[in-house]
Amino acid sequence: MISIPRPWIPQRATSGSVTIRALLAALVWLCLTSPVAAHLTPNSEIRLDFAPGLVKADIVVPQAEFGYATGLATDNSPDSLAKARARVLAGMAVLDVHGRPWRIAVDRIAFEQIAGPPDLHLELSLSPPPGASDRALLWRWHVVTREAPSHFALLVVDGDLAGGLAGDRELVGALTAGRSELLVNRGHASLGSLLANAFGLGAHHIAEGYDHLLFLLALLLPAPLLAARGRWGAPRPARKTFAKLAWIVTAFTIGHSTTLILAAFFGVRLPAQPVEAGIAFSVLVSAIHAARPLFPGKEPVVAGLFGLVHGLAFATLVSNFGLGTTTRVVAILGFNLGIEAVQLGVVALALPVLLMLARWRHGQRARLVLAVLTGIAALVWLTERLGLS
Amino acid sequence: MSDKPGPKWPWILLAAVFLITAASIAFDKYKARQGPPDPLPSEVKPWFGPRNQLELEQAAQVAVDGARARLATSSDEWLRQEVLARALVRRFRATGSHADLAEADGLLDKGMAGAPFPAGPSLSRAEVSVLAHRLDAADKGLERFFAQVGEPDDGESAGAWSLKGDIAFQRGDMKAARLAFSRAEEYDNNAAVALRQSMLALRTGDPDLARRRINAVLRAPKLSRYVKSQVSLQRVTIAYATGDWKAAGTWARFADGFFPGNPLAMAHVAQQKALEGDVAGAVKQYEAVLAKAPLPEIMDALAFTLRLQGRGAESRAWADKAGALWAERYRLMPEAAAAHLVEHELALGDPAKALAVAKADAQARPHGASLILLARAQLLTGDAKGALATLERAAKTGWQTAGLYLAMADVHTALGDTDAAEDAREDALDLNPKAMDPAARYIWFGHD
Repeated sequence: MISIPRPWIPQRATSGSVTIRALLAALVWLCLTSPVAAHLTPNSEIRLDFAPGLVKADIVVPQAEFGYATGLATDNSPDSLAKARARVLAGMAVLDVHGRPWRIAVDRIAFEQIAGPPDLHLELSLSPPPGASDRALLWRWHVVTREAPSHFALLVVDGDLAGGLAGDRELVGALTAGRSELLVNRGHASLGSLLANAFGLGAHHIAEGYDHLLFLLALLLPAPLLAARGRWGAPRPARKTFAKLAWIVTAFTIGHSTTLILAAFFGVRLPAQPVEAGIAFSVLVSAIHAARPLFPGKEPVVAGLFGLVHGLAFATLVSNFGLGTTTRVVAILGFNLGIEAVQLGVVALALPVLLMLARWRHGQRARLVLAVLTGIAALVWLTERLGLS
Repeated sequence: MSDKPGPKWPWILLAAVFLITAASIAFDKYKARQGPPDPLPSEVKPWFGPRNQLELEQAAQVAVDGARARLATSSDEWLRQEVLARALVRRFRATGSHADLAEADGLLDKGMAGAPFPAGPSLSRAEVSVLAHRLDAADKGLERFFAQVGEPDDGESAGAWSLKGDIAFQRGDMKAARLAFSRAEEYDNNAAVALRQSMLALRTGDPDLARRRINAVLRAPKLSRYVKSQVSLQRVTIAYATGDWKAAGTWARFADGFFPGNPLAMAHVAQQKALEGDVAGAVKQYEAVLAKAPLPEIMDALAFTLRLQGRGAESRAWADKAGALWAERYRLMPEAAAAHLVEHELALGDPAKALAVAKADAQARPHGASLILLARAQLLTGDAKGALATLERAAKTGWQTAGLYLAMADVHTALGDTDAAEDAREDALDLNPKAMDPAARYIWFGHD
């Protein structure tokens, strides 16, 4: 066998020793041809909320991406907003299954910070053409994606009052430069399913709304007691306690139902922050009342008045009840029934405890502890909601 | 016999001793895992070699001129061809000129063809093929190298095994890469091996090990200013991968000051300025770097920074310039430029154009970085399911970076699986607490 010796490589002509040479090769590999990466750009998001006769769309386009793609100014001057509005409307369309356009109304447009860097934020109301289904639409979208193909927009359904959702939200798909249309078909929904879904929605909201329940429970806490000389004293007879509880719960229901109906039918609205702060304040008042009687015998009136505030909060949660009077009535009815069902359930569970507490020898101390804890929670909420923390 | 209980203090003492011992062992293990702290930048000392970018480029030019003159006297001699090829690679390293890499590649082809088997510039062939992302050619070069009867010295063997590791790494075989680097380490425990092991550790979810290996290289004697500055930039990459932006800034500025004029180090400093909130300063610095060194990767970084500022016209102007340069590089060395071209198209161009190139690159080099790029191209061209399959393939190779998990989160979101998306985001944040910080988008160099 012939062996061929390896050639001698002159060191001076290379980078030095083999080790150094290898090191430099490694550096070239690491640095000049450094590992590449997928650089992520913020994407847009379109959230649809289906209601009978009306679809609300909440659209968020990252401000920088909008500016990059369009070259338009991204401030909140009327001229900039008008141009942004025109640009978005020119880059989108909503069609029925036969290709007829839906009516698009821009309820609100602003460049604002929602979470993270600022966004272009639009709220649209979409109405189907006469005779078309209000539960099926074709969403066409070129905004930013036409000029920046690496941008995409997620199309999401996050509300369907009549048909319900499989989870918190349902993704329809991603709109890209190469896939600019997506069909959204929510299928058929009857009045029965509208009622059932609105019921579920109401139950869900009150069950997750600890402040609403805490307000009510704190108000009920001294209900089995009689006030005397500025203190809670002897137990009230059981029959009178039941009557008192019923009045309080009914007054609260009348209160929140009133503002909910006003909001749904007449568009009565208040900004979320004062409403939420008002609710925290109501919890604080009811906590103090549970410790020392502030308005003995007037609990139903207070429950009714604060119920008005709580109803405004429900209205902000359920902003889209659709257009038709019948469907709105059914939706509000279902929503209120859901709230009442949970409320009554909680009261039914709390009632025996309240009665026992009134007759227990340590009941007064326990009530004070519960009142203080409720008061602390109310103060924390109040501080947060007033933006003081 | 008394029922009176004995004193409790011996038991308390025993428990205290036991607790202190256990705590000491745990602390020792923790410290051992952390390794020694980073060296202070002032402790990093250079050996001889060029002191700045200008001297590096001049030295590279002299080497190319000399090698070219020697080759001119005997143009068919493979050894002289190899010498010129190595000089060209050295200049490529200094200037980023792909024309030099392409010429070196051609010279080594000639050298291999002109030398009797198994002689020839086999190790250089393998090295340049790895640089050019031609893994099959690199394999052939190594086969020829190992076919030689003469026993290579330890340094050469370490180099060859390191290249084997590089090939395995790029093919997504992390286990084989780890074994090959260990084998290289057995021959010669040098900085080149440590760098590779650091890179491997970082991409497989062990940034602490990556940091320890880099620190060892930073502390090592007999390494030039240029090498140490580039190693510092690798330390920056590790810092970005763990969300330690302060350390990233320290080492980026160190690299820039230690070896002045290097465009990559200067670009890292510009990037760091953007991360620290001085985006206007970053743009200014990128523009200053580009005035001296018009490199497409720096143009892309600037264009992306401008995009994140919503400055479309300026961004597109730089992206167009970079696109033209990438196209030229792709024409010269398609495999070497492919991933960069994909990166450019995905961030600043058209994902549809990126898709075919990304597929080819991922097929040739199915490691995490290429697969993540392919998945992004698939996602942006409407194939979210394909993107998920690609990312799962990347995860199976052992690739474990915040970038992978963020890409997964995007794909899961696009597929409507919000729970899986949330899990993926949490995985990303476990590795890099700043992975989802909006400012992290300014990281172009050293991004995972």
